[in-house]
Amino acid sequence: MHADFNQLLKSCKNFDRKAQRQMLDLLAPFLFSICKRYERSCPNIQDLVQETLILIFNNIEQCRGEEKAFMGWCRRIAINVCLQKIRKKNLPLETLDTIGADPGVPPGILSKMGVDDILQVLDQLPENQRLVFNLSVLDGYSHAEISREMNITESHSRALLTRARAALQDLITKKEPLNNAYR
Amino acid sequence: MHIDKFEDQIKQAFERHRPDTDNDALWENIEPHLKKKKKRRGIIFFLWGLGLGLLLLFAWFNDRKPIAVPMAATPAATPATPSGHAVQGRNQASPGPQKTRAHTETATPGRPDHTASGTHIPATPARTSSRTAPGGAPSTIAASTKNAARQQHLETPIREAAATPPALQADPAAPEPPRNTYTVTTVEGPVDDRSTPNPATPEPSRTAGHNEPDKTAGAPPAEPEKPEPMAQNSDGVKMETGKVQARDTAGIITPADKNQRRKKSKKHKYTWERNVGLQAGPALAIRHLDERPWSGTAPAEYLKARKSTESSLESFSASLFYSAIARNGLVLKAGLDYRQSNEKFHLAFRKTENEQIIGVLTQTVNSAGAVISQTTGPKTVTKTTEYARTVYNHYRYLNLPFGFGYRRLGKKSHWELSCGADINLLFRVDGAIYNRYDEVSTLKFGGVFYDDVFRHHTGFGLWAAYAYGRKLTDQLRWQVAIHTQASLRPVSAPDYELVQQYFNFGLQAGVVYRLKKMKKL
Repeated sequence: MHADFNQLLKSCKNFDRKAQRQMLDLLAPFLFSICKRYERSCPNIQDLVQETLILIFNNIEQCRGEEKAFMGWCRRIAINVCLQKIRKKNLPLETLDTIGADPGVPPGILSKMGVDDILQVLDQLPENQRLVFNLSVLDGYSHAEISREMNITESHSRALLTRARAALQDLITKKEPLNNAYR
Repeated sequence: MHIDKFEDQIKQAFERHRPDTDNDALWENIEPHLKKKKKRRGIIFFLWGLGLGLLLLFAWFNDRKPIAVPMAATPAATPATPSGHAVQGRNQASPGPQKTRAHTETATPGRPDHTASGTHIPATPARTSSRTAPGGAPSTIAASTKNAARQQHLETPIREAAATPPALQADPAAPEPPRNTYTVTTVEGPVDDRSTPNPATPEPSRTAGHNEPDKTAGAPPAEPEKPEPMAQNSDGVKMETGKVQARDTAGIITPADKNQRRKKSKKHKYTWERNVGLQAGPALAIRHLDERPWSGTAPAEYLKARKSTESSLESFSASLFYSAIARNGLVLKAGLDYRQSNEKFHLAFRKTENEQIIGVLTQTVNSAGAVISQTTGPKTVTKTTEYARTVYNHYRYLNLPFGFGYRRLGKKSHWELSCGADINLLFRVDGAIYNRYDEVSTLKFGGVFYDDVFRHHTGFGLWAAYAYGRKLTDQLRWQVAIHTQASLRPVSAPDYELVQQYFNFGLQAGVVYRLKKMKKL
């Protein structure tokens, strides 16, 4: 698998169309799952994935390393594309309120929830909080990086994350009885 | 701990998540935007190298004299002397083929021609000639006898003249046979074109089949000869082995002649003039600043902001070079080039902020100016801040140029056209730019922002120059040059949203010092 992937990657670096098509089959679901976290509207997600794929294929020479490094590089590009899109929207900066106590999530709730459920919950978060949560928790960005990408201070980023966590846990806990009601 | 577990669960859920996608539709949309097959820059360098190689080869062969045609040795052709002795000595002792000079005679009707068959050319690797001997005598015999006679000349010229076999003695009264037409086929080898015949020898060559002095071949190049061991001929006379000593009518070689010949042959060596030069001067850097094709439309405003804040690129360059110049004008150059572009960064903008404050809204004042009453409340205050900053950004390059060219040398002046490639050893930027977060970022090597924007090396570049100079002293010349240089890669980092690249045009003046003079022919 690894040898095949590396061969495919090599062919893509030579701008081989067939290899690029095969690579698209591998990358598209992965990129969709990333872009879905940052963008709510479905047509916009499609646009973001397309833009990301074009960037990946046209700059694939710059990616050194094998499968793991390549996937990391693709993830980074997808996130950058999403962030650019968000920046264009001129994200409003909300004022910091007092941060509530961590309510905690009852164990076992998340295991019952699917990705779509989690996405629904994430979508209910304010834009900034969702963004910081995505970047920090799901994509492993540091607060310094987040502050640079979002043009906010590090402390602001930390505060947004704490608030996002609290809000998310709150929303999940509220969602649980609803889920049970359907069963 | 609890939070971490909660986040890990979310993370794992997303990592496993692979939504269904319509890949065909995606491919149709992206395919027209994908780059085509990779351009091969390597081929350019290969062709450039090949061209340089061919030019060098051409220069090498062009400097030499006409092509050497080594004669094949024929062992059966050892001629015999009239007295029945086989001619031995240097010609036979010579191992392997040597550079040979042969005169091929064009047969004259009505005259015996022994060279027509070509078998009479002695099997000596040394310079030989065959010519019809007077009276129909076989030319090979005459030639070999002449060889023996010539060897004797080496030792004692005067005595040897008397000892020349009677058959070879020319009758001064006899009419000289008409000269035939000679075709020079080979012109390499040690040559001694002495024009003055030995008065003690009454022109034996004309009658005894000697070589004619070659007037048509010009000054042929020759390798310096090494002294070889002496051998004895059949008559017991010491002679040098492996070489033909002379081919002119006199057939006498003195040590002075040998020295002269040695000196002459040294002059035919391929020599280069070597120079070092130092030049400096102003230049103009033309900047290409554009969006990267993959960056989409997002940085358009940023690009506009950068273009509006950076201007007036002036630069200067200084170079130290070493050049080797061949006799035919080929120039090989290498050196060190420092280049600096100074870019003016000017930032001036206004920022307007509205602020809500609690302040005095209305006041009632009496005739004396004292406040009687006032109302307070929230009101909006507009704050306008003006930002202004002007600095110079310095783009510094240290390149290692190398290349080739052509120099035309006059009596007092010269001009030179050269081109080549350069390798960037170092590239640094010092200054400030407007970053994409609408802030002024200070750039310094090693800073956080620096690596995101600029490269550390710009790789290969191309350059070309035209220079004109005049002689100051025997070894010193002044020179002015117009030059152009461009890096093949942009100075901006590969992940940076904008492409920033420079093309330089400039003027340089300086001096060229000659280290080694080219030898005169």
